[in-house]
Amino acid sequence: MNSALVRPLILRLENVAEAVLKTLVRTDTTLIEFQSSTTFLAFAAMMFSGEHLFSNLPIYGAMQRFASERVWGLVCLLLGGVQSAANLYHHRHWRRTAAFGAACGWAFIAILIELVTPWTTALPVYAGFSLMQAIVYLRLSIPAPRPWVDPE
Amino acid sequence: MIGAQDAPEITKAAALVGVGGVLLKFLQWLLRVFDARRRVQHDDLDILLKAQAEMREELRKDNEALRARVESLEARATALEDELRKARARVTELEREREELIATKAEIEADLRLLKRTLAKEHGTL
Repeated sequence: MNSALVRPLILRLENVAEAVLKTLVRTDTTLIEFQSSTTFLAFAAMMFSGEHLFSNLPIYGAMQRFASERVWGLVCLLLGGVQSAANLYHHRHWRRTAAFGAACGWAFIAILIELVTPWTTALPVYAGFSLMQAIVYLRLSIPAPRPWVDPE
Repeated sequence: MIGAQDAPEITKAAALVGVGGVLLKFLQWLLRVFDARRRVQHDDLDILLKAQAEMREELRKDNEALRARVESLEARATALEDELRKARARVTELEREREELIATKAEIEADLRLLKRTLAKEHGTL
């Protein structure tokens, strides 16, 4: 391949990656983690409080067919509890792990909603939750933050 | 618990989440590689900045030393100028004294000549 054509493209991609990394390094993730963990805990509380949440909302029908409401409540409690504790104690490794779990959890709900009732407004909401947790996961994957020095 | 065969959506969603998770892990790896590369560049930049700071410090010290040397030389030049001015004043004074002495000498010679003449006259009369 012609390097004169490829090289500017690679440089452009590097600039984009640099900008993404710069944004990630400067992003504080604590509030996003708090939002996700508390939402999971609220879900768990609602699922434990009575056996009628799934019957009220048709989008959770598939989940009910797979496992009982309390089992899903337990999963939500686990995800929310781990993320809350990790966030509370500032444990970087567990925060990263919990963010990965939360990203998968929210993505699971978003995909399931899309499969059961396509194109509802719940899709962007849960997809957004998942995306935010993925960003948190990537942010916490960069080891030991250090002050950013602009090359220019 | 009933099972996955009764809820195919769950299986599909779980599979898609699995694919998404793998993609996320790949993105994480990519980001870490890029970050490591950036860190190497950052370290190089640190070394260069440190070297630049050291060089700047050395230049600052050299500049200070040269400035002190220039100030010392300027003070020495001022002192020499003062001495030169004094010496010139002294020369002027000495020249004036010399002229006075020459004048005095001429007066004394004239007095001597007059005295000799007077003495010769007196000896001639004696």
